[in-house]
Amino acid sequence: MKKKFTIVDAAIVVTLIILVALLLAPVLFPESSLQEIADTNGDGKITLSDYDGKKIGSITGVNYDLIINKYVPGSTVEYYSNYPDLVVALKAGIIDAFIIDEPALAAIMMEDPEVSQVPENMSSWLMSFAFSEKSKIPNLYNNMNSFIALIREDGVLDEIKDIWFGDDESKKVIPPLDDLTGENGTVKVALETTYAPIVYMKNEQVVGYEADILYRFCDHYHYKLEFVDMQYDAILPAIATGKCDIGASGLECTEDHAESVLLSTPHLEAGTSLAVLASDLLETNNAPAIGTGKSFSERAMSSFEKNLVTESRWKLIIKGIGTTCLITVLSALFGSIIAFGMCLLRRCASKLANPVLDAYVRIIQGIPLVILLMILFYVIFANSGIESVWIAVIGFSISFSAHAAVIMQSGLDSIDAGQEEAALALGFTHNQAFFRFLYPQAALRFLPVYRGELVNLLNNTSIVGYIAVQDLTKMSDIIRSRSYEAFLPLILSTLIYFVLARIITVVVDIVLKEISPRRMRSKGGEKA
Amino acid sequence: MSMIVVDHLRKEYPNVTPLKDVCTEINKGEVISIIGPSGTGKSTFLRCLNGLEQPTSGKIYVNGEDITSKKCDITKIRQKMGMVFQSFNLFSNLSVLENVITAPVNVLKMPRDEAEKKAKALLLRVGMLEKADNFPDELSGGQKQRVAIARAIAMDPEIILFDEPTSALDPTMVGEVLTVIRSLAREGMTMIIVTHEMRFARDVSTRVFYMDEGVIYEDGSPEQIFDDPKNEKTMRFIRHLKTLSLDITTASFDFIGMSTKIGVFGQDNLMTPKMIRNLNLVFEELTSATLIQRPGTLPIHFEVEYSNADESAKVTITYEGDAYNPLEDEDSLSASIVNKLCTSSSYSHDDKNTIVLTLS
Ligand SMILES: Nc1ncnc2c1ncn2[C@@H]1O[C@H](COP(=O)(O)OP(=O)(O)OP(=O)(O)O)[C@@H](O)[C@H]1O
Ligand SMILES: [Mg+2]
Repeated sequence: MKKKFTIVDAAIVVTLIILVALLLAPVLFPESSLQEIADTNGDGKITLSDYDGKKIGSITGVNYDLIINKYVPGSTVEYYSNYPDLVVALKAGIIDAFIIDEPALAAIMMEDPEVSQVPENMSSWLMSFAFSEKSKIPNLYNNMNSFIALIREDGVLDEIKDIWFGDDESKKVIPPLDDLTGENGTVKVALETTYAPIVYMKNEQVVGYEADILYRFCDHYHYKLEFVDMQYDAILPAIATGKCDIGASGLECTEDHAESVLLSTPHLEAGTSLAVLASDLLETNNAPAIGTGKSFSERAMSSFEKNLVTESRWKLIIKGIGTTCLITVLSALFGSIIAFGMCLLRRCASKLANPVLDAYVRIIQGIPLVILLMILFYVIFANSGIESVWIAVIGFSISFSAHAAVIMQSGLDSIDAGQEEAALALGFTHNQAFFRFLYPQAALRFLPVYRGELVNLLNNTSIVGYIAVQDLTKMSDIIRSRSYEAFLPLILSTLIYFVLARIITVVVDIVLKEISPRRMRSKGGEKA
Repeated sequence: MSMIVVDHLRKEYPNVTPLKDVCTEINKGEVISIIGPSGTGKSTFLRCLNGLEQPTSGKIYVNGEDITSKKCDITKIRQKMGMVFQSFNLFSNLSVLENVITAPVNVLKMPRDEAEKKAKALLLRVGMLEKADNFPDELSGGQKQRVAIARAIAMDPEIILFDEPTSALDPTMVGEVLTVIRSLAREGMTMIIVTHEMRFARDVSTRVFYMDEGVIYEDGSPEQIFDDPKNEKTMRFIRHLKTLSLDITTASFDFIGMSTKIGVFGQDNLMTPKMIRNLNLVFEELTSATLIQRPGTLPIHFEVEYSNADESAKVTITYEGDAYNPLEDEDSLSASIVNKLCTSSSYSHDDKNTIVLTLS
């Protein structure tokens, strides 16, 4: 049977076109920062003081306030959770500059010629690893301090710096983690992998300056090494609660941090720079803007190349889709089973069950999903060793069960009591009446709403990055962190989510058609 | 042995006690009509008989087995006791045919083809075979009820309980359902029918229960209950049921519609054609021909009370305005027509005008 092109389809197409057009606009009409940066002190150069009073971006995990107060005290500060977002915000003109450590800025500038550095150094800061007081591995903290002292002595630390802060890509490798023998236990490291060259993803592997130190450390002390990728803000809580043993990705050695965790002796003194648009630094305004030399198709090709082909980044997307689908499908399944069980309980159990179930639904629906996940991750399953994907499945199952139970119950409530009485009067038992007549009829009514809730579930899974799960959204963040480009990764994940949502809709529609009584009649009609 | 014995049955709800003390015996082959005012527990009584309601106290024995006891397998009893509901309650997710075969196949474990063959014969009998593949929501009320009856018979019950099987139907569809029930009665099916169709109850039943005040207030043959009720309450119920009231609020009221209502009311109560015609004449002459023409009479209330026993009708007309009796207007043609038709008439005025007429 051929499906007709309906108004709904037309509306979807129009919406998609508008969406693409909106996303495409900044690419087609690249625009520079809203506020012109001018050489105010008239020394013929753009300097730090020219950015005073402007909007400066900063990462949430490092405390740059002192430095900002010292050099650009009149600025307003906006906080971002990772460097790729800062780059995108800078290029979009949302901020005028952002503050960043020198190695990271160098890495960004290598990838993205539109970003440059104000050639003036600010105060530097000390980078350490954070350690959990609750770690089960004995002496881990002391071992790291001795190890840092050791490699500082014998020059290995400088070697590592040369590798990762230099430009020989071929040297930037870390042996597979499986090569570690691990007689002395497994070290779990919490980190954020959008922070080149300190820690980042390359060829689906966590690499970088700190990753290298950690690898050598574990090799030296015979530990196994496990990287747990999470949001920047989540790293210190993960260490404080003992969820992970070591925290990495450019943690500053400050007294603030030292209160909740142990900090190793610093392994790097990072200079601080102000990242700005390269075009700001050109002395005249009529210089050609960067990137305009290329045609649109060339730009599209290079964007495609950077985001998907280089280092097989498309594989990250595939992995992300797998994780997103796994969480969605399992949560929908378990959530629906729990919801169904709740409906059965309401039917059979004593009156006591109802207020308990109502309370469950109200509590779960009242907790924001992110917080529910965090509670599961940091409190309830903090030391359980359960992988974070499964914690996500548990969280979403619980949340979905509350929504699905309400949906199913409203479907059941809408069935006339006469249906059950008629079944009983014919000699069916209560259970037979429920499974043969009540539930199938209710399903016909609640499935359209349930379908919408499934799509919601799919879209909501995009927050699992908070608990260190690498789903589709997180993978697209990782790609953005390497390509410093927002357009392609975002539009691609939008399209993928859209397609997944369509698949859910189509599957539920098939089920709906399958159980709809009309189906049998149309079959009968064909026979006739 | 009696098929059903009801022994001091009592049913209480938190704020009402519809059944206070019901005792009766029902034998095979009886067709029992239950009549009585609304809310007197007729439905509750039926629902206790097949265990849809748990009695508060008292016993019900079906073929000697106490169905109120915990040990009784009520589903077994229900298989032998069909029930037809006022609101049909066909399974909306099943086709007509499947509605009829689902219980034989799934409860009695009858082979599907045998059940289908039987179901088709039953549907043919209730005139619904050609709708076998349709779904309940595609049928009219009368058709649904016929299917519901077929569904009940398909279980080969020993008795069928009907709870107001025609109350939810348009007057035009009542007949088709009653015909089916009549044919069951002719075949000797044991039935208990709660109904407001007095004429039907009178024709079809072998016994009538008048229920009121939580008990079977009067129990007797149809002739006895309808023609010669022992109790004052029964008598009043049987008479008062036959009232029709019409309200005229605007001068441009639906005259045809109201005349039709009088006609239907007359037919329902087995009035003679002459009586129906006279009622219509009185209605027309007193409302549209006279009172409506006069300012300030609206709204007009027109009420007919018909008594089957002496075949007389009492018409009461109340209306607003100054004291005015159209029947005393000697020049009026209407007044002379109406005065000729009625056996007695009276007029009074306090805050409203009231005319009371008797026709026979
Ligand atoms: N489940 C219930 N809970 C509480 N009260 C009920 C329930 N079912 C019936 N009743 C009450 O019991 C009384 C008898 O109801 P029932 O339906 O048996 O009357 P009935 O004689 O069938 O009336 P009708 O002719 O209007 O159908 C009514 O007052 C009704 O409100
Ligand atoms: Mg009733």
